Amino acid sequence: MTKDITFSRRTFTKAALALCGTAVTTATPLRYALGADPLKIGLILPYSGVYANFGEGITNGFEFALKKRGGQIAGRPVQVIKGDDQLDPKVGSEVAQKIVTRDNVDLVVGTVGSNVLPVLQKICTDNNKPLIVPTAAGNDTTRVQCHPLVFRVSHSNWQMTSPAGAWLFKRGAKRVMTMGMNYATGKEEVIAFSDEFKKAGGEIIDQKWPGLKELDYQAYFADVLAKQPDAMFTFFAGSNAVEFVKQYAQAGLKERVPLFGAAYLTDSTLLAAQGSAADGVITSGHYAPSLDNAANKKFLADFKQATGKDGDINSMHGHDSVEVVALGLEKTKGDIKDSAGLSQALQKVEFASPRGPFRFSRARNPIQNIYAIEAKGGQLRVIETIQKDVEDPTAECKV
Amino acid sequence: MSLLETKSLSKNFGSLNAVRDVSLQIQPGEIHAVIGPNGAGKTTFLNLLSGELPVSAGCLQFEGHDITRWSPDRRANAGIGRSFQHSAVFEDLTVHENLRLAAQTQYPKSFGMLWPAEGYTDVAARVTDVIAQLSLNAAESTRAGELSHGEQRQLEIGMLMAISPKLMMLDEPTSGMSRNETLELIGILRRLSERHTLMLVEHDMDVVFQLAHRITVLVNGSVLASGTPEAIRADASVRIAYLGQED
Amino acid sequence: MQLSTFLIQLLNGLQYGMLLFLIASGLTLTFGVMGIINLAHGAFFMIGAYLVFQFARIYEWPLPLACASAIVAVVVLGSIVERAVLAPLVDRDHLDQVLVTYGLILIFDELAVVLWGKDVHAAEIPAMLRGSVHISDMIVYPVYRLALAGAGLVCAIGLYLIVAKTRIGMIVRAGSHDRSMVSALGINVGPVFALVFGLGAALAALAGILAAPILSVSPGMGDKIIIIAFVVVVIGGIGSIKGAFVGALLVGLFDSFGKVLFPTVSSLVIYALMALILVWRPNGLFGKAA
Repeated sequence: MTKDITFSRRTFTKAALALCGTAVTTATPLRYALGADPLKIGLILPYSGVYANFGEGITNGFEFALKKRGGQIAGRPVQVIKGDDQLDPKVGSEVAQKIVTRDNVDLVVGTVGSNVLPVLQKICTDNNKPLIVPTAAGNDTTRVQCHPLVFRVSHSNWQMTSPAGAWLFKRGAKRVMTMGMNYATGKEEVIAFSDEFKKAGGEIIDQKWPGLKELDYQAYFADVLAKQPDAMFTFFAGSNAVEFVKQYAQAGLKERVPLFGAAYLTDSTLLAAQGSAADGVITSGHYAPSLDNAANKKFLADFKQATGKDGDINSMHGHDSVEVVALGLEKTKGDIKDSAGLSQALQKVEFASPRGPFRFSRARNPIQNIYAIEAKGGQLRVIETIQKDVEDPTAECKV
Repeated sequence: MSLLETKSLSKNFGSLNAVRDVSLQIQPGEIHAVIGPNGAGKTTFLNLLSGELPVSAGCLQFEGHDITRWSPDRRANAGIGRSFQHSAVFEDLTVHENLRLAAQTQYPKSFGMLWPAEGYTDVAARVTDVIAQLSLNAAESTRAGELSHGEQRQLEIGMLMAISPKLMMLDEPTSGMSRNETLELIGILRRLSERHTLMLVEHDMDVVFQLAHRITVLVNGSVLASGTPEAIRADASVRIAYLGQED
Repeated sequence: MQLSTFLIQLLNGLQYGMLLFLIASGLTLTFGVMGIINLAHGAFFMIGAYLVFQFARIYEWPLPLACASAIVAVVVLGSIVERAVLAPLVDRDHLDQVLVTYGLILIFDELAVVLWGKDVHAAEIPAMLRGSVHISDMIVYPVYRLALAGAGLVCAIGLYLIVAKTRIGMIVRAGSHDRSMVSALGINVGPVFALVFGLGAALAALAGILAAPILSVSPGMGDKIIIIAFVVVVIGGIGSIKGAFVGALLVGLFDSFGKVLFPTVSSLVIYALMALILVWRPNGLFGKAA
């Protein structure tokens, strides 16, 4: 049954798309009609499915950064070939095979889903193509799976929440309950927090793992009232985050048990939907549009002018992906054939990102600041820097 | 003018000719029985008349109108009522509700669908009238699913009476009935025939020869013979094809 | 389990059950009367939520007008779907129906993306229903959820009265037993189908409207809930309104108590319930043998 449905979903997707003539395509080459020898970049992201807005945001930031550079990187015109991995490893594998081997791109930027990243990484590294990861945050990518040609511009799951452990304890929370979506990312982020919180001397009194398809969290809340923890630390993203934050506030819990979480909980794309329910929720993360630094102000202003949209975490990731590639290739003078040299050059990239100072660790994960971010009145406000220059542990990386 | 007339009516299921070229006439007021061995196409024929199945070829007329392409509900409203071979009562509804459902199809439909069903006195009177003509032991409020088989078949005929069609077509009305129940039913059908034209598809030869004015014999989808009970009893080909097997 | 927890979970279960009933009742009616498995029923739920968001938050219409307009719009859409897509499928294989209505889900989800974008939206709880009831320090319950449970119960009673006491109700019950018999009685089933389908769509839209303030309004929001609604229908017995009601309450209660009693496997509890009931009664609690 499940198999049939999967099959029919794809068949129907195609039929439905053909029928509606909607503009979601699997590969839209964006040609920059410039001189010879263009740099071909594959952009493989989810453009459909639950994380479609991630794909869209990253692409907006990516295209903006490219346009800012006149459509050129290290003097070479850039040709972008897009692919929709649909957040599905099987689809992602087919799309990556086509873009990497048939279109023969020079490097790949992708993707969002930690489930798709391993197949994408294998295809890229097997073909000796650099891979720039704009979002997918599984710890292993820059630990046991680390590779000289795989660079992450976002963060590891550990990095996002681990500094919050000691920080929350210092703020006075001694007994904390956690809730996280029951999948790899949710577990890594919540466990990173819990480990540090316990190390600091706190007690985790209960951990709950609602499923990805959960609609109604109300049934979990009776237990929260009964156990009266000092704080609630969570990982939720997308529509689940909207539902959770609203229901938590509606149940009257926010005033009794303050709500904390990883930054995706109150992502700026969700704030409008969450409304006043998000007010006072504090998250830990590496970026918020309200960050007070010159690079961020310029990014937001230019982005708004160029696209008419407000910059957010996704467009920042797309923007920084281009920056990393451009700064690295400028060092090699546009040469991408010498893999070892390219790997070195990219690893040494350092710049003032909208998120703050950016450089790569030995494992090619960013070393970056982690901030405490409070939602209020539909805005995200950085209230303090939790920890500067946070580096994901590199011991497991054998590069 | 005959009440119902078929002209070269045929029905194919793929390469199987279930009904072939059947032309017959049913006269107003008569009891017309259709008999034949198993698989002769009797029920298929009845389904063509009621509109359950679309015809493959030929046409049929009711009171002079060509009804070949009419839907089942349109034919029912024009005056063709039928029963089904399986026990066709609505098991979840009570005896009363079954009859009311049938009866209210005969009254103006301008009444809202969301009005309480109990609100129509005409319908209620009709239901009471029908129940008086049946010989049911069970109470009106009994769920039809709880009736005995024989009583369910009676209720089914009661539903037809409530509609009061000009032509009543009964598909094996006595099947599965005890001897006593069959005798009771024969009485009911006789009384019915005073007001309705009846067409029976029947297995039980006693019933057929006691009731029918005319009999049509179907074999392999075709009409083998058609005529009075005496003529059919005397027909040599029928004896060989059908009655002979019974003896 | 403490008494306070027990009481809150009981309320949660009832409230969730009522929401599920609104969706499951339309699903089971459509199957019972028309014999059609309509996977796209969840789309009516989603569109109801989107429209009330559009009317109440974007156009800032008064709430009663916004809700009524959303329901009417969904019923009109449902009727078009019924006439154009489902009516021709009445006598087709169930697999065909599943395939076509699954295609409808994808089309409606994509349509929601085209019209409202991929962002997650939400509706606000109306001012008079905000806040919580404080029964004790341990028992706090949102007013809106009590209202939701009440609305569901009112609909359930209304639906019961329609099905048990009215003419259309009698035809619906008769039709779920045998459609060909109903037409042999001279009843044109076409308009009855349309009416039943419209009613089902209206209930799903109402569920979407009621759920909009507590759930997120996003493409695919109907897909999550339609799976649970199918579990409800299967448990209750396909085609039975009474079954949908009992099934919805059972699923609601098992789900909310499962989350407390078996937190590690809570997402499986209702499926285990379904499996057990099917072993005991293969046609569901109030289903008829095929």
